[in-house]
Amino acid sequence: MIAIARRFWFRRFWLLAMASLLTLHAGASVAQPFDRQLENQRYQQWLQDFRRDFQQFRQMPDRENADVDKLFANTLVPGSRASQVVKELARAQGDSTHGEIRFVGIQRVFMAALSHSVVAGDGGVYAETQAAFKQQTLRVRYMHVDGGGRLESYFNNPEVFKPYRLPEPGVLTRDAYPFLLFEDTQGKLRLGGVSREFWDLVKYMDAQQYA
Amino acid sequence: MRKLPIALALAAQALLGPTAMAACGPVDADFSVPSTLPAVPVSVDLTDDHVLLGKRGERIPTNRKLAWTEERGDPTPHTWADKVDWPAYQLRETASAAAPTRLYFDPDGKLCRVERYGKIRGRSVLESGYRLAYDAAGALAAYTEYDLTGASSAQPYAATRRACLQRDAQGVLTTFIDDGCGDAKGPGVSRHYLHDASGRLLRVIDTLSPGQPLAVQTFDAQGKPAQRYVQQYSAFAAPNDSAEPLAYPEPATRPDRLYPRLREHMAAMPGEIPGVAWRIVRIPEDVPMDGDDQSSWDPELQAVLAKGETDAQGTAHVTPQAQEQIWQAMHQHPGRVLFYFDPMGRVALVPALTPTQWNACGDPANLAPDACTP
Repeated sequence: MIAIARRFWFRRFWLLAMASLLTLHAGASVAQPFDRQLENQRYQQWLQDFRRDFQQFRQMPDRENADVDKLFANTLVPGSRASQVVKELARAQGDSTHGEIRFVGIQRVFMAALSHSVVAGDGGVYAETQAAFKQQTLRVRYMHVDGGGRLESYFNNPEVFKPYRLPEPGVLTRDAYPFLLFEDTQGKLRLGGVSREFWDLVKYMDAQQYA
Repeated sequence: MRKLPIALALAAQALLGPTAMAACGPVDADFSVPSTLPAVPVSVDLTDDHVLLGKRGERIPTNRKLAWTEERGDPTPHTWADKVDWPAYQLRETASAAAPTRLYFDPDGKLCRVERYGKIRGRSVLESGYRLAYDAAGALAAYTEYDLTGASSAQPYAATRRACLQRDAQGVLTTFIDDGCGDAKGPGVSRHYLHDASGRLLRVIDTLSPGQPLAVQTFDAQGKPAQRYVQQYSAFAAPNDSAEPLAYPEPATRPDRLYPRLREHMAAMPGEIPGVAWRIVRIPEDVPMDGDDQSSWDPELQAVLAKGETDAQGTAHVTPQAQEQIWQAMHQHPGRVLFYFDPMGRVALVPALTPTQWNACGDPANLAPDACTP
């Protein structure tokens, strides 16, 4: 029963990711020098803020009807795909215990993936195709996810990454490197989208608990 | 005029000295003395395994060893710390949040020192780390690993590993010493790279200690890996066999247990049961011996080199003529000469090197092109 619920939930997620990101192509943008030190300090600042927002959100009694855009005004682009992702995460099953084994909910796996990430490169401005998101200008940020060696078979899987490599600066390439979409205005980052590449990795990390 | 050669010698020594300084300082200095270089705090806790971001976006696994060799494949030492894009992990340290690791780089960007901090009673304590040294050409020359032993307050840090990479006057790697570099007893596990006068790689010799070879990889004239020789305990041992490990050329395919045998021991082969049929056969090259293929067990496909019945002690006696034929076949068809000590059990016969031959093959000073095949 739980397995079915999980699968159903994943499928909803998958459809969302498919509909939103699969059809998009590389954004035309000018390559610029990428300061990994600075960009990671900014990412760490964003992560700290996002973690705090998410913590407050999880402790709310009536999460499903909460105004995500208002709660995450500082860390998520309002009305973006990322805010939809967070709404979905709120509905997902949290931590659970089966038999004697404790499993961590997908929210915490997603948070762990973000925590174990560093920004590796810039993939330019994301070329939006869906009218609903067109007014947002989001940049592609390629993310290196550590994993402590437990994710290497996933990154080396030619069915998933074709192959795993960091694309040229300013270029968006699919099936090459996990990425996130960030709005970058007035020196402040807000998450605007989670790529299929990144989300599939989160699902893989989640499934590893049950392997 | 007489001073000139001395000056030249000193200059040469300064250039080629084994512990050339650069700006990193010596690797064997007291680790508790802080570095004068600026500290770079990073978020990576080296207690755990990590796969870090490389400079070109690649994935770089961490390793407790800063330089190491793999048993097979590329014989040269691998490093990881120089490939990591450390600025991506740089932290802004605050009084409340101390970094788990601090790095120190010389003005050329070479990593000189690594400090790993742990928490003891809420306090951040330097628990372990590394010192690194480079030669004049900027190549890694040595690293020493230190640990907080707590034994004495005067010398709180003990060196737990002393590795070094020795190069010749042309900068070509000659020896990688994994531990015990500079030890009075001589180094521990080491890999020696032997080149001929033209710079071609001849052999790579792994030694457990000086004069104790463990494995020798030979290379052909094109520089491709050729025959590999190993000294190992036999997977099959008869009651009267010597307990010493024997060195032998390692067959490329080895589905059967290997039984290294000296030439002088080919006359009497040890079976287990008196009065059973034994045979020594060669499996033709076109019969597959890989994976699960069982066709090499088919007597119809085997070429019999010798056969008979074991005597009252269970020994199989081989005629001098057959011995020579089998010995040749063991060299020409590695892994394909099989001794059936009874109709149901077999081992692959491989030609063992005599101790004299093995010492010559595994001698890092022996530059003879045929050192392993006298």
